[in-house]
Amino acid sequence: MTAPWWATFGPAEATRRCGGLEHRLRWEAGRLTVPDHPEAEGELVLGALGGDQPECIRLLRAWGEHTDDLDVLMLGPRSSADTLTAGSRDAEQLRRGPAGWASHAPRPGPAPGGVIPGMPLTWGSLWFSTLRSFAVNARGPSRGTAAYGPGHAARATQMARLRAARGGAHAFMPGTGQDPDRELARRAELLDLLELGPAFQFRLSAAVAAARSQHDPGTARPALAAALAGRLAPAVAAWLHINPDDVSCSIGVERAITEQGGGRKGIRAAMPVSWLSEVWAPGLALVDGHLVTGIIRAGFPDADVLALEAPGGEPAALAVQCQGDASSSQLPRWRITAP
Amino acid sequence: MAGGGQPRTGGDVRERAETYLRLLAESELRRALGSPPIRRPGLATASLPLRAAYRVLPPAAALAARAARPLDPLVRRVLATRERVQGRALPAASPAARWAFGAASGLAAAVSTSVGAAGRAGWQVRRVVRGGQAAGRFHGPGPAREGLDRVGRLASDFAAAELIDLAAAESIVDGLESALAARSRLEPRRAWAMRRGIRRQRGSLPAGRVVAIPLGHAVAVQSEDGPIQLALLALVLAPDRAEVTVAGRLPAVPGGEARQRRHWSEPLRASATDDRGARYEAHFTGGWDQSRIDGALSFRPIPPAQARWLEVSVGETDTVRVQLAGSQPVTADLDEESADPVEHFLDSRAERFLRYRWLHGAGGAAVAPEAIAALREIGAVSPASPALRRLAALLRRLGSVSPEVQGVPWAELPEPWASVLDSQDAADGPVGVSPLAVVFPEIDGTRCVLTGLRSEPDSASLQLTGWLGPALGWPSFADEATWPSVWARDSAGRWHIAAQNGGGFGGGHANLTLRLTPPIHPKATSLEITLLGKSGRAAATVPLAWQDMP
Repeated sequence: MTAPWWATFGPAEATRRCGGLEHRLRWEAGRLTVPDHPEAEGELVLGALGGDQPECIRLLRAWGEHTDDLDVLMLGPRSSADTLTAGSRDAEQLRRGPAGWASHAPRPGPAPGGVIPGMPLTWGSLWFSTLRSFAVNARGPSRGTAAYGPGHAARATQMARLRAARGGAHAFMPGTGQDPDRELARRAELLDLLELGPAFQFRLSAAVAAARSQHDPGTARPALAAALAGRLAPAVAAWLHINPDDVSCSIGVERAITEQGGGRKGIRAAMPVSWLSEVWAPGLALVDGHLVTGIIRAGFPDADVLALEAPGGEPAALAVQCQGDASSSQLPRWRITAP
Repeated sequence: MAGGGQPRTGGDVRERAETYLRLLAESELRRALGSPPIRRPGLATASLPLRAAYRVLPPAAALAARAARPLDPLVRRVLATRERVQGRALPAASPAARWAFGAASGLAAAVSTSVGAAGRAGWQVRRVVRGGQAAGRFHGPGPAREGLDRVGRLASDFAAAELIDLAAAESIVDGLESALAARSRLEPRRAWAMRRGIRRQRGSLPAGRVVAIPLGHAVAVQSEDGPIQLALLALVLAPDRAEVTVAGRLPAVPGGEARQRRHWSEPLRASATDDRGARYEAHFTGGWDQSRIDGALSFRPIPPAQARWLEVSVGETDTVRVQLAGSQPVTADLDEESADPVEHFLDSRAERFLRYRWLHGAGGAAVAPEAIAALREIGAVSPASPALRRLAALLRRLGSVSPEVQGVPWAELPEPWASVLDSQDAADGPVGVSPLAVVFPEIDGTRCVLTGLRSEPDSASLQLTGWLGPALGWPSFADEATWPSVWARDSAGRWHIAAQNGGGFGGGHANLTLRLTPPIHPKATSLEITLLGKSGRAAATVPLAWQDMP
């Protein structure tokens, strides 16, 4: 029987203000729990029916809703050195909406008579821009506010040169069918979850990768390929002391790290999506100078792994052990205990 | 103006396109993480109004096995392509100065709305800005912004070539933007708000009949600097707008630069009455430079379709009666021959290059080398692509060296392109105005009416009254992508390419001036105008009836 994806994770704990008290959120064995809310399930039901939700219950519900959300892999950490600075303040700003903005927001767009800048249209942006967008949209620019005069093309050329110089030309096309308010709320929830700290960020990322690796990725394949590349490349680069841009990653059933060959520079790395949940997220990617490619026996704090010492070789079985406090909010550190 | 192409792109190419874009986003995120995080200026010592102003402003400180086969070489190529293409990027033109100015002016504007705080806060704003600059805390476009722009630009181009769904393209750019912001590598910029605002304004195309009636009346409107000479070109009447388009000349008075800042629209008031005695008022929307003024007089309320005539009065001039009943505008028929989207994209970039090459320095940006390189990398286009071969031929003809078309055999240049290039130095255009009224069918989610032609020795310009539908993309370069390509061929056989050269957008409406290059042939007596979009093309021929230039 295959071990569950969370078998190499120790428990993690964080606290949050909830109803004026410091409450604990505990992750263990693949589940998030709220020990200070013994009737959590009942509170979840009440919340779903429209009742007030305590902060802990809100986070518990959000966690459940984001465990297969690809946005977690887009926003979440790529390595232990990748620190997220967003937090509940940003989430709250998103959640609060545009109140108070409309009356103060400067008029959008170009100066009178100026050109319409050709910058990318982006959708559902975070933080202030989103709030400003809603404020501005609510007012709706009057006709002619984007007017520009003859000779515009000459100015447009100047703009184009500037854009070319700073790489900023373009367009973005309108979106289709998503509800911005819902999207904002979803993003705000995700920020709240990520603010629980690195330990929770990696566990949530692992949950998503595990959920996505259980079946054919389908249309999510490009997103998963990017998620894998964004995490595998830095790990391989750190292992070999090379530039991550010199690592070509791909989703593959075979787990292989090889030289490019053919006189080309760089490394090819292929791993299944499950590598993210089983190896990368628990902090096992690099252990004492070895790149871990798979798990033989999953467990915590002791596990047996397959690891490479150099590219192109056959992975060797190693016994590893997690060092440090199991409930630490920081990432675990693993060491080889037996070759 | 070109046609023909390869079959539409398949699912594998679309998947490779999305993968390419997402890998590029990862690469740009990694690159941005190599730069220091942004910091907002410290406001702890600023006054309450300033802190309040800061909070309400935009951040002024600057703001499985199947997959393995295509993905592996793709990753290498994403990186190689990025390096190759970016290696030609020009250095930023003093971004810090621009951002700092924006911060100062933006803060000052907001603070001025705070009761009684303007003077005190203004000083503090200056102090904060100076301090911020000195400490390097205001950041303009940096690695994160540049990377986001690269991904946004390519996402937009892939969407234009229908290699990726709009929603997926937006999701990728948005995801990168969010990831950068969540790491304090990026603060959003103010233009997003405007763009989203404009996007949301895009309403609907006119539900009912669109009527256009050529006018060709000359009027003079008094201003404090002298008479503004106008030619009333055409009346456009639709369920949601009623406009008389105008082209004119401003009075010749000294003080060039200052005159451009004057609001010439003030004296340009008009009124109208219909056969039932209803009265309508109009205001001018449009633009001007040192000598010319183009635009439209927009009437409110909108006259009903049942009106038989309108008597239009501009300024203090005599009224002009316009018969509405029985009017038969020239209409263009739609030839629905949809083009392969990738081929169309390549042709549009070639035409863009052709369109703007007369503007010094615009050509390089117009060709979108990153997109072309990416299209080749993901296999969306091959060296055998007719459109790519045309582009290669165009670049060769213009003496432009581009690695993106290296090894691509040249095709014969399309006749219109060759004609434009052959006549590019012509300066023999007649001087005058010719009213037009050509109603075009819906193409690519747009409707438009061409209402007049102004001809001068070195160029000509068309007046366009248009509607932007809800599914329309936002212009990617110099705003030209808003409309289908506009081409014209005069009866003397000379082709002309149109480029937007002024006008205005708002509420789903547009009033644009299109510059035609080269000038109209002096012996031309008619003009065939063609709109060319993804969904087809429409053409109409109109006689040229020159009137004196106002």
